[in-house]
Amino acid sequence: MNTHRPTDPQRRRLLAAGAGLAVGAGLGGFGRAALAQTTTMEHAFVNGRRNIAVYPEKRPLIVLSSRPPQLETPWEVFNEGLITPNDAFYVRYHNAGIPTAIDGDKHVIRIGGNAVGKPFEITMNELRSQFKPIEVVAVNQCSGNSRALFSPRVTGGQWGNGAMGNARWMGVALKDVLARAELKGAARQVTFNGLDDGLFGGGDFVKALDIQHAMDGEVMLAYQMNGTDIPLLNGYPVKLIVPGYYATYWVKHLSEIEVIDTVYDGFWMRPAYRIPDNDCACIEPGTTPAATRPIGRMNVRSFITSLSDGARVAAGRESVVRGIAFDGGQGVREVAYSIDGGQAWRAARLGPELGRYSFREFGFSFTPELGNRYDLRVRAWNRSGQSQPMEALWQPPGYMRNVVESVKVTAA
Amino acid sequence: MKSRLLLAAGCAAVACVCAGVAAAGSKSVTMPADGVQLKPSALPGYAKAQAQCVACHSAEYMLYQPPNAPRPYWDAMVKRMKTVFKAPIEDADIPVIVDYLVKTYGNEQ
Repeated sequence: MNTHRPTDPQRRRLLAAGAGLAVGAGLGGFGRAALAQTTTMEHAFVNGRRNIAVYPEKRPLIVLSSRPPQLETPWEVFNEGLITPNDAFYVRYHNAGIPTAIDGDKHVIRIGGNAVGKPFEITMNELRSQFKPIEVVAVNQCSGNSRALFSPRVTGGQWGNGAMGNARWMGVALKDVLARAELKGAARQVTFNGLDDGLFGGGDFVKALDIQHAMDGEVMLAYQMNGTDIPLLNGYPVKLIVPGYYATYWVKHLSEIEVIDTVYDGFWMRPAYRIPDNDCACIEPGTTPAATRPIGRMNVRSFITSLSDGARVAAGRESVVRGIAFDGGQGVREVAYSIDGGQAWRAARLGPELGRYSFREFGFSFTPELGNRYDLRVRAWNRSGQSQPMEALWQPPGYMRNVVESVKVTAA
Repeated sequence: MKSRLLLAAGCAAVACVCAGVAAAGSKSVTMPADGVQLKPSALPGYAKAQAQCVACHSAEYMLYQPPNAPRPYWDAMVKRMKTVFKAPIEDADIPVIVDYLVKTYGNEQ
């Protein structure tokens, strides 16, 4: 699944030009110094022009920010398979002090906190050898994926739809590791810190989960991604996996776990990464939420991946449309499609399930008639009956977009 | 649970895993240079932004904001950099930097 066939003409040009000159540097030979280059792409929103550049262990990706790196996956990748290759997987850091050299054999995770009876340290080797490995295919999606598509626009990282990916994660259950720490009855939350730091000592990226969630057996310390080491920019050598939850909780380069008897309220839990505390996690544009809560489980989304907005389809013969759907862990039960802007709906075919947390493929066919325009829409339901709104919801931080998207095509 | 493929438990699986990853060792990377720079300006905040803002992060953080971003947004961001991230910004410089940002990247362009 890791081999990539460059089907995108833009990428072919890039490779032909030798834009990302690989220069073996450092221990692992992953170092690359990108040549100055001006390849760009244009998102379909105002101020959407972006550079495309090569970062370590990555193919050319869309640059949301150079430093710290925030890199978006080009949309065509999502049509090439349900598993997002490691070198195409998006990157999102919060602080500029990112580790650029990590010895995976010497890396340790410190486990402590005031609700732990027996603090200890664990090495990567111990993690790999002393616990039962588990595996899950799970979507990792940035809370602010698609933020730039909010209307009215909101400030923050202006992502298109490519701040997400689906990977096979292997590691050990957090529950098994914490079992050695002799948790006290007062344990309320577990906090997670990684090697990345702010440059001036503030704003360290620390996240927290409730103790029951942390101990559910699914939250995982992963040391492999798609069968190999995790790319450094995605959290090498060990990353917290929180299946079904937005990626803000998936702490990279995990180095410190604390079990505490309070609710952690550091900057990245409050006021950052919070949503309106109501059923839709939404409010009227321009207003302020009465109360907020930390962002949590992902909502239902579905995307057509085989056609982009404005595409031409061949008239008079069957056109096969493909896409992906996912949710926060119930699993996709149904995907419906419409070719007339949402007037009439039919059931799409569902592909095999790689697990409740994975992208699931769907497909449908229609026969376009010459000269006609088609407004293609897809809408998914999960096993709890949750779905996607026909009109976009709004919230100030621009998280959780999941509207039924529209892809308009013309038959020619 | 269906969704989680538990690997065959026991020593064999663990050993296999170890063998597979043991060679991992270390990673060392070199990051590319910033892809964009701050927009030059005659405003006094330009030099201060060059000294203070891009010390920690590249200029896409400003450049890619929606052009309707109003002065209170830029003001809140600069203050956040000082209070949360401990950026060593003099209080007197804050309105100067904000003025450059909103007139260069925000809704006062």
